[in-house]
Amino acid sequence: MSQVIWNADIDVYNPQVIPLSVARSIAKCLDIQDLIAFSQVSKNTYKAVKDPHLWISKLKLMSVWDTAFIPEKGSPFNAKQFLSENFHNSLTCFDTIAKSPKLAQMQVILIHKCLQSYYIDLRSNKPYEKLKIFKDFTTPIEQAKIFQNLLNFNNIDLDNESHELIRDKIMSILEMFENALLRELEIHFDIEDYSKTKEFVSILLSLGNEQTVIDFFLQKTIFDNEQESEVFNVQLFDHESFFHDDTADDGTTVIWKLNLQAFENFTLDLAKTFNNEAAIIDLVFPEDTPMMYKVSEELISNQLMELIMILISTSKKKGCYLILVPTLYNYLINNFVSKLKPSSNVGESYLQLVRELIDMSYESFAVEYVREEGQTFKSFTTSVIQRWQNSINEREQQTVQNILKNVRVENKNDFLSSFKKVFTIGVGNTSGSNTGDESGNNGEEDENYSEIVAKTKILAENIKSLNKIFSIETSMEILNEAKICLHRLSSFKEFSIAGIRAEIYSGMQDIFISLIESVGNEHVKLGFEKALEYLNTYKPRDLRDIATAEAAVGTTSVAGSNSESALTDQDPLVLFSELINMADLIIQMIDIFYKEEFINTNIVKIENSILNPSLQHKKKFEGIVDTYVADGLNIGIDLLMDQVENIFNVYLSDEDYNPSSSSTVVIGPTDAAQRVIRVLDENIDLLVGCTDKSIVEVFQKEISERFFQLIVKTLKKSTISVNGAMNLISDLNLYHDFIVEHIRSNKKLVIPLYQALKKVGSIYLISGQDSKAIGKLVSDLSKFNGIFGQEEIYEFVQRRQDWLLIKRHVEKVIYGLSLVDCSIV
Amino acid sequence: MSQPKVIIVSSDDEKFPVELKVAEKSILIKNMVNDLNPDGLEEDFELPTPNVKSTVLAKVLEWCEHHKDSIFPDDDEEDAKKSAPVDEWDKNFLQVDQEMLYEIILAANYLNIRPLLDSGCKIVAEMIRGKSPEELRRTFNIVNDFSPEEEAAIRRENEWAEDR
Repeated sequence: MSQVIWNADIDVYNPQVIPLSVARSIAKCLDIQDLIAFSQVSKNTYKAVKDPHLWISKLKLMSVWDTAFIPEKGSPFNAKQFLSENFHNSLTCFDTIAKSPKLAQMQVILIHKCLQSYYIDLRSNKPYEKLKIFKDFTTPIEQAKIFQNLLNFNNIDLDNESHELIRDKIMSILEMFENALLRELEIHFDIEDYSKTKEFVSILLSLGNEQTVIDFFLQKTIFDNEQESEVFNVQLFDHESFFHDDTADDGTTVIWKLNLQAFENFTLDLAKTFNNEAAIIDLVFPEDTPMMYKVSEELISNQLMELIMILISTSKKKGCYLILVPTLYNYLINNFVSKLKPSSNVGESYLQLVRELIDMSYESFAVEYVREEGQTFKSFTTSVIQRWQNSINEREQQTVQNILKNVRVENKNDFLSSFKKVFTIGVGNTSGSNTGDESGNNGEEDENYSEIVAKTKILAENIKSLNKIFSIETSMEILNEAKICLHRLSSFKEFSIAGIRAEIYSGMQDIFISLIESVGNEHVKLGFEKALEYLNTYKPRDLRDIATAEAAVGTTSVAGSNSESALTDQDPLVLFSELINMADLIIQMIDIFYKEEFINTNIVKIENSILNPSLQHKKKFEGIVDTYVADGLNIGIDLLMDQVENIFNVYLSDEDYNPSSSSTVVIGPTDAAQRVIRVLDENIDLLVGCTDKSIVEVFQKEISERFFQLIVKTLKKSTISVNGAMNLISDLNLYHDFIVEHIRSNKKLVIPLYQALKKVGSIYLISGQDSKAIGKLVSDLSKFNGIFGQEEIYEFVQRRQDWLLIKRHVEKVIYGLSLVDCSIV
Repeated sequence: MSQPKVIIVSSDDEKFPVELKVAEKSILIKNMVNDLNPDGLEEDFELPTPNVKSTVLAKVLEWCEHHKDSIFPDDDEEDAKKSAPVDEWDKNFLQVDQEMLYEIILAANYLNIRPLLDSGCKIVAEMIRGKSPEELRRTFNIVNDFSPEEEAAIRRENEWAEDR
């Protein structure tokens, strides 16, 4: 087996030499004096001792290496001068250390030289007062410093026993020393000798007694100082003065209001206390001791907090909690903070610090308050809506009762009254003047109705109150309250705790959402539902029947009842459009409110964000209203068309289009057509300007189309002579002109219908002699704009009064042949 | 069969068969075994230690046997090692004459057994306390390898430090 060289260090094999690694290991365990001797033993020991790492580690143990200054490169750094200047004094030997490996050994040895004699002195069994330290150093500042240096030097004492012993000794001396210092501090503080106080504070701080000094100061200025803490004295705190009784002279319920002067005084006192503290602290404490911070923390988080709690619980009892919480916060954050004088102990961030401390203490109150605000607003809206609902119900019930009262009367006197009727009719027949008297005397009975009549009457009354189903005033009331709530909430907008800001934000959103819910769902939506219900059950024809029935009874004037029924006939759409107008107004109010309170105040930063549920609720509400408007209009249009059809049925006589030869021909539109146009004229422009343009367009188009169908239907039932055709064409022209005048959009869809109608009119104008021309016209479908099919045209032609006479000739033109022309050859 | 052993041979040719685990306390031996037997130890492995006497080697291996299960702090943690006092067992174990102690230290250094070297050095440091350079040379049987000029220069260098 070949011999291998195992260890690179050749000294390992030489028994007469200490290998370098061994020398290094030993050197690590040696104290400074022994190191000097050890370095003189041999070359390797010398090398081991010269190793800068050894000395750097000692500087590190005394924790001066990491903070040492680095000599600037390039600048002439005189090592000798540096060493002789900085290491001759036992007090300052740690103050300037160079971060230079080359100088590490020298620096440690010089420190050793400075302190060794005192250190050895400590090792002896002398009583404390005879120690060399107390002979050489007499002022507390010097003594504090030398003890600190020795304590530090103790760290490189590698002899365990002496290390522990001397450490304990220094500690116990220091403890006594510190107690003496504290006593001195207290004496000087009490006689307000702040420059001396500052001296002792800085000695204690240099000995690392920051906490002791802070505790001392807190105890002195806050806990023991009755004059300073008067503001915070719970027993003396007059929480009642923050409220004053605002009960009106005649009022039975007690109303409390906030006494703002008390808040003003309170913040003034608070600021005075803070300013006093800050002034003393600036005199006594260096800036790196967070004294003012500690004082502020104690005063705000503990002392002030207690007072806030008292105020809040009092406000709950007096019913002004929702006002007090934001007001108090405003006073603290604005009035109080603005009165603070700067504290150089805290520096520039002082005001910010106080704000944050207040916010921290206020956090739980704010959370509770936001919740409370939301709930109170909700119950407020519910009660307002309820009140409105009740008033509506009451009014309705009253109407119903008023009407039903009469029914009951009739039921009771059923036999009597019918008997009386017979009687009065009989009397009326004999003497007209008597009838007038009777009707005057029995004014009340004249309004007796049968049960069905009563029900219809109730409905008519309800329809009349359509525009009172929801109210702008109620909505305004809710909006105003919401505005107040939001303003109160916005006191906390700048809260320094992000979580609370989020809470406030969602609180504001909640208020807006409950606003929409109440105004939208509970008020407008319910109102619309009711209105639709009325409209659905409303049959104008029934009413007219009643009106005519009444007229038939003959006690009320025919003309009066007619005009009355005419009025009710046209009411629903007009009233409904008023309703739409109001809903639109409410939407606009909410929109303005939203823009003012949420967008302009920058509460909502990104409007179209999912974090902004308000907008979605607002849009949803607007959508709901649109749907109801459309539904309501549908019913309204139905009603309108019913009415138009009615007019045709009642007023369009057979004579109109087929005058008998005896009657005088009146050229021009018929009475029926004029009535129809009057009704339409009243309704077609109802919505212009009060709702969405698109809804207006759809509404008008629907009316035009349905009206067109009605005309066609009516035409197909009439019989028209050549003489009557003039009237018919006048009517059709009237319709056409009306539509052209009122329809502003969708013209291409609507107007051709009426143009085609005019063409249809000309079918009847052609004399029966000229059946060929009739046939030609009828077969040319392009003349009718493609609106009507062949079948329909054929139907129209059949309505000619002389159809049976000309049928053969016309059909010949249409089909080329008629049956009659076919003969068997 | 039984585990293959490491057989350490002293300078005076005495053979010490030991378990691998014990021998591996020496980083030198551990690296050696690993380098020469990359697949693990399959048979007895003989190692000569040409500068360790059998009396010293016996002592060193006794220490290794005792500490075969001990875990020592990492080499780099200088400060922790320094402040820790010498292990009680080590202290008793190293209650030997100065020559022996010094030879154990040299062997520990040569075989690279850090914890033993540290314990030894701490005890030596205790002995050094307060002695003059000449006394030290005598105690540890070290030759003064300075030239007279060098010696004078070093003395000068240290004069100002000793001066009180």
